[in-house]
Amino acid sequence: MNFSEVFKQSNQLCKISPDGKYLATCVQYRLVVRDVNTLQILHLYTCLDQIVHMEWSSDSLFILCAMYKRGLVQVWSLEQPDWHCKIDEGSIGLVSSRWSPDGRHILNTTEFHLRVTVWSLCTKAVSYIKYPKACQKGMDFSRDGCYMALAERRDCKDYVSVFVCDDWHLLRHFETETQDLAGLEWSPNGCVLAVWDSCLEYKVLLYSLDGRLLSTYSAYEWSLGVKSLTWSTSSQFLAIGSYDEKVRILNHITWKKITEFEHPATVNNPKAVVYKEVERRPTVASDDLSIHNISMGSTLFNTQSKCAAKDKETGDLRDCYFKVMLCKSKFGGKRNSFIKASPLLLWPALDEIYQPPVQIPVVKPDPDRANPKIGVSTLAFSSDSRYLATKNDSMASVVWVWDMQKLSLEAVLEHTSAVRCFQWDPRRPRLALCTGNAKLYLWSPAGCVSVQVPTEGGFQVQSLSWHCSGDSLILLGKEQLCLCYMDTDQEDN
Amino acid sequence: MGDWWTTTPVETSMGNHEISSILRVTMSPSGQNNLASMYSSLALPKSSYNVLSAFCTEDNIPQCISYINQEIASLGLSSTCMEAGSAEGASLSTVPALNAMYELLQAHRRSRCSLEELERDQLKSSSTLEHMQISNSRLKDQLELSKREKSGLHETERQLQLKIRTLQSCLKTEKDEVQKLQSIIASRASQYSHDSKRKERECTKLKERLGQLLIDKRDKKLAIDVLNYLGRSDGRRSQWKTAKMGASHEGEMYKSLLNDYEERHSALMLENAELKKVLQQMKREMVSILSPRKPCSRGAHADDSYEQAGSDREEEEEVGGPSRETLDQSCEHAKEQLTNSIRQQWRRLKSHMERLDSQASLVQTQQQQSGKEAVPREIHNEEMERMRLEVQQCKDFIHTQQQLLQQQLNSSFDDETAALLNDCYTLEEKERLKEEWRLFEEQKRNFERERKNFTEAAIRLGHEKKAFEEDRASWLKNQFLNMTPFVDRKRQSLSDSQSSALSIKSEPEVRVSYTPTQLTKSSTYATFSTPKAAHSAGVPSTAELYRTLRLIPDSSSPRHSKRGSWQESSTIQAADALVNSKHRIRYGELSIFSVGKDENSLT
Repeated sequence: MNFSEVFKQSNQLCKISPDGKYLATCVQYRLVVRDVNTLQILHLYTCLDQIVHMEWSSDSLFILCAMYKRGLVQVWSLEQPDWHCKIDEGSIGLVSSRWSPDGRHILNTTEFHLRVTVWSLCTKAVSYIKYPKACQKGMDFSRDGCYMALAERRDCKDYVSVFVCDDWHLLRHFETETQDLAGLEWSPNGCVLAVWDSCLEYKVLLYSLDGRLLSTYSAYEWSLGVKSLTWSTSSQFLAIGSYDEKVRILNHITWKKITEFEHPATVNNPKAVVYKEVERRPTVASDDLSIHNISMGSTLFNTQSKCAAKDKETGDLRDCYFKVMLCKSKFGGKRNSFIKASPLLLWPALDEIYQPPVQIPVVKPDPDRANPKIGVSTLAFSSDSRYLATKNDSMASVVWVWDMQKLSLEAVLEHTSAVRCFQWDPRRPRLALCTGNAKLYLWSPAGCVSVQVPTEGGFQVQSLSWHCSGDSLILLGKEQLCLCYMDTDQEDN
Repeated sequence: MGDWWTTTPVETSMGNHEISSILRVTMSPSGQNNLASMYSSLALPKSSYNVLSAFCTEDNIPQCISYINQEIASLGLSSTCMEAGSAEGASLSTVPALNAMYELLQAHRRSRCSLEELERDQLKSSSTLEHMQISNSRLKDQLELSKREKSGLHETERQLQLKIRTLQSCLKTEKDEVQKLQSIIASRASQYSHDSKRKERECTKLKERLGQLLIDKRDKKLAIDVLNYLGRSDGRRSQWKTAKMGASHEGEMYKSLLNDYEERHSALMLENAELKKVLQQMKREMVSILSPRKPCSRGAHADDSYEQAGSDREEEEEVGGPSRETLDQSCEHAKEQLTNSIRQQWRRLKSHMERLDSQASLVQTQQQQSGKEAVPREIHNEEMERMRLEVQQCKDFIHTQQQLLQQQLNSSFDDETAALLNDCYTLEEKERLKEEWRLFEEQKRNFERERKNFTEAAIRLGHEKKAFEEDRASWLKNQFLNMTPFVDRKRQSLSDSQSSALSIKSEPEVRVSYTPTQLTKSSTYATFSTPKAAHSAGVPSTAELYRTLRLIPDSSSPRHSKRGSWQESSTIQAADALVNSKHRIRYGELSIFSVGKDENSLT
């Protein structure tokens, strides 16, 4: 694992182009485009004000920079550096700006959600879409870029409009059976639209592309409902995270619940592996290993020495260890062998073998405050839909990984601080996550590892995103960014 | 009333008790007194005979007699005896008097006996009375206690009921409260929704107004500034919005939907086919599982259920054929048939399993029954008990042994150690002895080997000597026959003998071995002839013997030859002895004979 040098960035605006060739970063009012491999600056654009939002077009030819305060959007071309485009929303204001999937239109949402303005870069034409609803996720493009679903609010009723992105033709317009629509999301195959109600009511509606209501799902009543929703990449599962700290999985044929995943404070599942982060000095660790892992024999030390050698090469510092809690001793051998063979596990430290149940720290939310910090707020399927990672807000330092084949808990990753962000590798079942400290955490079915980002001056990883190839990772600090390259050769082994 | 009734008996009984005790106290002395008085009334006259106040004096004998007569008569005894005396006057006829006295005494004894009996009865009854009283009082206490308990329970029940009542009322109020709150919530919710709707409407109105205003104002700033227009990403030119376009969009949409459905359909088909395959396989396996069992079940018991099953099976076979064919067509009929057949199979399997279960249970029970008969439980139990006892005994034994050992160890440590040391020494000694024994054995074996060698050598010697003797005899005969001059003969004989000895010496191995008995003879003969032979030096020396046996190197031969004569005899003797001993060992019974012969021969 290698790390690049640190670059400056602001507003955590740093994105890799969809084709994976360029890296665009914003530094105040400047936009810097670099080559991903060499990190050489290819282009440097200067905007009119501090950039608040930046987005690549789908064909990686244009970059959109939005300055919401000024109501301005500037577009830059990579092919023609002297080409420029400036869109001024005027006094009506701007709260959100985005590309259409074809990369030739820009959709601006005005202040107070008065309307959505569609600017065409081809014809200079402007079109308005009135009554957009201000909600959690009121607009979504289908994965193939053909259709756009937009939540609308008219006469105190929720509507969904489906547009053809090609020419913004209104394909369907239908009323939804929601009290207060909170969001909508296309299935990855673009044929089913999931619509969910606000948290006051647990209601998930599934509409076909042609506006037919396929199914309605409600798990319970009279309690705070849906908090998050996500489709699996295969469109086979719909995972619904709710305020009752559970994730419910619906199937794509009957739209009935297959299973539900609970997030209990005590993990009793003997098959789940609990990884617990403990802070420790690196010098002590080897002794501890020798004491605790006699049973593991030389295999561990081999990996250890290998890792130590690697340390010298890459200069990585690893001072954070996971206690691998093997809930069943009979799994010990199996897991250990995994650890040995694991390409990911750089320095596994099997400190103690715990017996279930394992206690997980829980922060009780204040019931009197709105939007209580409880319930499953983040859900993410791995690229192969094999695993589902979830985070319960009342256990902010814990990420749960579920196996979708066995429909059971696979791993629990407990950290010392709250998890800020986690994302799956777009190619492999590998989860990267950060907790706002100087470490990068990686989980794969083989094991878990943490890596200290080797930079001076306290680089704190606030956010991260994968390169589309899954070979590298952008780590975003408060004012800096850093690229982390995975060891591809080791993975092949 | 009840209370009064219950309390009074106690008092009365108490009073009775006291009274009875008092009575007893007073009665018993009085009784004694009565007796004493009775005694005294009889005895006093004797004791205070001289006293004036005595019952009978010299003067009043007749009166006394008459009085006693009267008394006796009143007691129902014959008083006639006394009258005879009274006629004579003062003298008392002794026989009737004595008879009367005897009768009186008898009466007295009787009365005493009865009195004692009565007293005993009295005691018994009083004790039973006491016991009854005690039990009575106890029962009364119990009654009291239970009554109190009852009242307490009544009280608690009352309290609980009161509580229940209050709780019920509470519940009612709570329910009311809940209802009220629910209504409040509902009203609030409706109010809220109404308000929110109003607000929303206002908001939308405002928004529209704002939009209108902005449009009316002709916002100059609202603009797009593009250097040059871009081509579409797909390279085509943009098209006008037309109805045709709309229709094409619809078509596209439906196409994509259709595609999705088709995909899903194909996936489901695939899955279905898989499931069908599994089903088919399951069915097949079921049939194969069930079919071999049929004959035996038929043989075992051809009951009604089986017949039904058989018909089912036939049916199934009929159905199975077409269903298999139509499986791929997946038409409704085939499916139904398939499910039906599967169901039948399943039912059959179930019944089969049930039958098996019942059989198993039957067998079990039979086994249990038969087990009882075959190996009586009592015997089994007895055996078990015995074994347990044995185990217990063994355990006890071990325990006691351990204890004893412990005790010994604890109590007499020094003695113990000494003994132990002793044991050690003896053991060591034993070891050493064993070692020595081993060494000895080895030596013995060596000796044995040597002796064997010696005997062999001796045998050879014997042969040689015999040959030599024969030679000499023949030579002497020759000499004697030739009758050569004496000096020549002497010299010649010497030289000849030497040469012959040497010549013989060189060929001892050629000789044929003799049997042991012969050997002993020859050896004895050798001892006899040695003095002569030594002079003639015909017998081979020890060194030579050794050399032939390869016991000593050839180089040492000249030294030995110096004292050859002595060694010769000694070795021969030794050899002889060895032979003897060998004989002794080899032929246990013969040895005595041989020894005796040797002695004879020696003497």
